[in-house]
Amino acid sequence: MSAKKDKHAPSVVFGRGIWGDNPVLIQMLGLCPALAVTNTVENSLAMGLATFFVLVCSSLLVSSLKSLIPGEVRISTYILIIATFVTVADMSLAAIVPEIHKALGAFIALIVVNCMILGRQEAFASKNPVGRSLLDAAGTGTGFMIALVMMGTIREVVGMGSFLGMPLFGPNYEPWVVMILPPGGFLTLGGILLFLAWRVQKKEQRSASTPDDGATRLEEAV
Amino acid sequence: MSDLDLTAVDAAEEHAIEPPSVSSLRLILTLAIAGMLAGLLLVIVNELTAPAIAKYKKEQQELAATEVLGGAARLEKLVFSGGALTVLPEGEVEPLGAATLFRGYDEAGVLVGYAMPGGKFGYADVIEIMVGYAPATGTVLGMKVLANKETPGLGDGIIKNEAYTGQFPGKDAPLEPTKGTASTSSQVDTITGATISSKAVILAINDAIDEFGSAIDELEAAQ
Repeated sequence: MSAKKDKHAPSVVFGRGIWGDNPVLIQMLGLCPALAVTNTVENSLAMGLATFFVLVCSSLLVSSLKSLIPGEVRISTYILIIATFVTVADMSLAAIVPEIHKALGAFIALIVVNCMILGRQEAFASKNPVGRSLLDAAGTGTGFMIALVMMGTIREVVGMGSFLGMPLFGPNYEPWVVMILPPGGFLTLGGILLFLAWRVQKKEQRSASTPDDGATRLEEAV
Repeated sequence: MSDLDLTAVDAAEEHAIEPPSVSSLRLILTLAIAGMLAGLLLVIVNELTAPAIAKYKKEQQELAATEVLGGAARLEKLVFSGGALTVLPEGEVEPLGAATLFRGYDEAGVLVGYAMPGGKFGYADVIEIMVGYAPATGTVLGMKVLANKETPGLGDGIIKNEAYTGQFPGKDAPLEPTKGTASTSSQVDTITGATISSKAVILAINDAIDEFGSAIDELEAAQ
């Protein structure tokens, strides 16, 4: 009954990256940082913010320069733009929050090869106006951050018994060290994906049964 | 005439296979300009952030040196090159590739000891440490891990396990790693479950004293 939602509406463009097309949980992009640096909430947040910054800046530039960039060299130009912003983010983090920069180590530089960022340039920013590209980048960046912080929270709470460094369970809690080690990343991501798949399946079952209900209700009304 | 025709056909075929939409000059120009702009931006950002990064590094070094010397009031920077130590005048930058040591004095201006850098491969990567050393008595004054990639929860006990880190002050060099049986003044207990990491720190201290010890003695003798 309600009119079909405009797929270019700001809320749709922004919201798509956060949930429906979440880069980590749905598109399965950017899994390397999602597995590698989500051992604490702080690291996840810093990685999310750095990626957000690079994604938004790159989308802004790619979208505004798209008519100037010949198709043959577009990928190289995108990578150049992304790499530049990654280096800017790298140096800024080292100057402003050196402790976090030390903890993230090489993974800041590796934002360059985060396929989520190049993916947004190729699939969206190079074909859409500046404003919409910015919204899309902000939505995707936020979705990435949410997914990372979600994993970071689970891993830090279970693996260290703390949240953002604050102890939660007192001295008697024996942390599951495995959760902050690499296997913990796989376990956490797998757990979240399993939960989401289960939710989707339930939703599908429910929607499969609704048309019948609608039909009965329609008959009753007639 | 026929030659000309042939080339014409060749060109036409090439054209059919790969139609160049823009000239290669434009492609090269696009990348070159983009590269130049990127370089320019990075130079500006580097200029803005470099002082803060250098300041942090210096602070960390001096903080570590003060800590391993048990709270020295004044620090002097020494440069190690060609097997000898020289005092670096205040405000000068140390040469690249040379190890930097610190000489610490207490409030009364009495020499406390030397802080020197060390490193040894642990379980995951090289563990970088700083060790405080008193050459007169040959004792270790303190130890601090500057950088490590050891396993969180196990190997990072070399930072977090106070029963382990607290053993170092007052020990006689060279140190000897033991497993919970430390009794003499040079024995240091390793951490259960992190033997490799905690042993590497002990060996790194011995290596550092081996490397810089004689140069320190020479400097002391010269004064």
